[in-house]
Amino acid sequence: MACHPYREWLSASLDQQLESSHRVELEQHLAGCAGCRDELAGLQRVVSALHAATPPGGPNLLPGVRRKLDHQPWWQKVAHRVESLWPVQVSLQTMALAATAVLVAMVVVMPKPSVPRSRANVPTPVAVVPSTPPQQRLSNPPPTVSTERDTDDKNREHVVSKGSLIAEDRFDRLDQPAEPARTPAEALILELPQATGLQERSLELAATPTATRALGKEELKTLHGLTGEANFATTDGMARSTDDTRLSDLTQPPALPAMAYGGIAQGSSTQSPAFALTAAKNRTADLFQARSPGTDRRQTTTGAAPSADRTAPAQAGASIGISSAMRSVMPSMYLRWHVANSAKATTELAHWVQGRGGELTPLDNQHVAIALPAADVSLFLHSFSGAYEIPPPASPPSLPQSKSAEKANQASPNQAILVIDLSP
Amino acid sequence: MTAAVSDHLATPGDEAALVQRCQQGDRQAFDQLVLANQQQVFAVALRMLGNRDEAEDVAQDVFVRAFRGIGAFRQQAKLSTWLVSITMNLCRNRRRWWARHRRVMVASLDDSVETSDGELSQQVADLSPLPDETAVRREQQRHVLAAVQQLDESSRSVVVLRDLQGYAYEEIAQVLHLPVGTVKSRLNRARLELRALVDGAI
Repeated sequence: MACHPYREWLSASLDQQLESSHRVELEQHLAGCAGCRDELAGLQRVVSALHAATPPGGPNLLPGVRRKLDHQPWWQKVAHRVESLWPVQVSLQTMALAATAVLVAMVVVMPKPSVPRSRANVPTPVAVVPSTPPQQRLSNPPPTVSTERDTDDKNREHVVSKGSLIAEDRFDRLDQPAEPARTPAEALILELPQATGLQERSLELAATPTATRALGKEELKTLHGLTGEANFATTDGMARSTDDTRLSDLTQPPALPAMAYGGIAQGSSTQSPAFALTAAKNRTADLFQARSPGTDRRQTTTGAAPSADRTAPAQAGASIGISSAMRSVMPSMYLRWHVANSAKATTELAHWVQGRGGELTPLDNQHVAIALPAADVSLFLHSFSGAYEIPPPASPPSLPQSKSAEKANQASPNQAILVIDLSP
Repeated sequence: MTAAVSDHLATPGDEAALVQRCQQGDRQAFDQLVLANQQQVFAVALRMLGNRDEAEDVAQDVFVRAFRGIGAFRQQAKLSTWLVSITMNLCRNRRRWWARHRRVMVASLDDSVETSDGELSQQVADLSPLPDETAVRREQQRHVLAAVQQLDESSRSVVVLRDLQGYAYEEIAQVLHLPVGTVKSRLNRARLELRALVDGAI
């Protein structure tokens, strides 16, 4: 066609985007081509009409945005939180495969100003005491919008007033849209632990430890009974629901997870203290030695970290802490978890841990050691949420240097060891 | 022509500070971000989808995504570029969803057209005896905006961003992740198509 290059240049010429030599050629062509002149004029009119279109007035989007942020399906919230803990560039799969990568994480609970505690400079303990039996929770109907928010507020209030574990905003913010959300099937793994041990929050700091029995078949049966549903398929130790109705539950916003994640609940602004994951020193040696004499040391260790941790929130995202964590060498976390029934909790932990390919080793009456793949630690912390306390310098009995303790102490390079003190 | 800059964020420094506050979890900062950019995001969504309700829904989703992803926003691009890029993606997804579910998203003429006096025009012919210049212009606008809806997605994207939102070629290239040359040729094709669609009416 005679007008071939020139037709393609018309649009650019309207925007003065034509290079000078082409502009000259085009002008020459237009002088002799009525068709192209006509076309150019038509384009000009179209573009002018578009330019004259007034911007459409839009509604205020903020309420709708807030609403959507507050009412995600709970498993999506969890998925986003987990994803948000990791550096952007690294997917969960990548990290699981990283053979030499080892995670060190320390959970630091930042004290709120209102917390009237003398040891305001060390992480503030938060206790979780299960109260309602599992059946009640499971039978809770999906909440209305306001109920969920009220519950969240209530729970958050409880937890936050003494320092909550996780600031919801940071986690949501760090989510990557590209990362696929967890499927409901995977999410069930997360849901099951909640269904059993951890329940409503109240804020008693219990003192006296109770005996922890070792895990056994009896425990498992108890666990099954407690959930009220024979939903575990435990043949391979993987906790998966075989009940299809559970999946449909997930499509509704259930009250159960919303309350369970009260500590991480999203929603209206609260000044939740920042949650930072940073590298911590190896405290394995400290942890497994006598705690009374070790209290000072632990407090120092604990105290040393928070100052580092407090600076972390000021940095952009938790990814910085995590990157450095990934490069450091040893795993260790000592947590204290207040439960009404440590046997139940142990069972539940065991299920979850084994489901993730980890190991649970009871250390003594009230302590268990968990070895987890490094990648799962944050998932673990979220599944059993809001309840961690870096132990105060009380004088709990020292851990025996038993074989099991030693075994637990030796982690393979990409495993994290968590020692959990279970007491009511 | 719509300006691509919001009133609240006058300088790049302001924007950087706002983004940083958002990344630190400042909720008020995020609210501010939404308010400063919602007009633009909604406008793009509306022009791309032609349906007000869908556009509002998509626009909200854009900010939800932005909230979750702001931690990764490295500020190499303008914030608005990033937001509009998300908008274009979500619009495309929304259209595909409708297509996949074999439904037709009703693009109403009235939804996509608004006149300078702010009211939604109706398709009823102007009954005044003398052709009003503004009425004629309004009618032309309606036609051309309806024609935009008929373009295929790649053509519509460039026309909306260039001629309705006033973006520079380079900005469009960033939003759509295309080379500038491709933007130019797509724009050319799109405008020629539009011209053919409205031929006679304008």
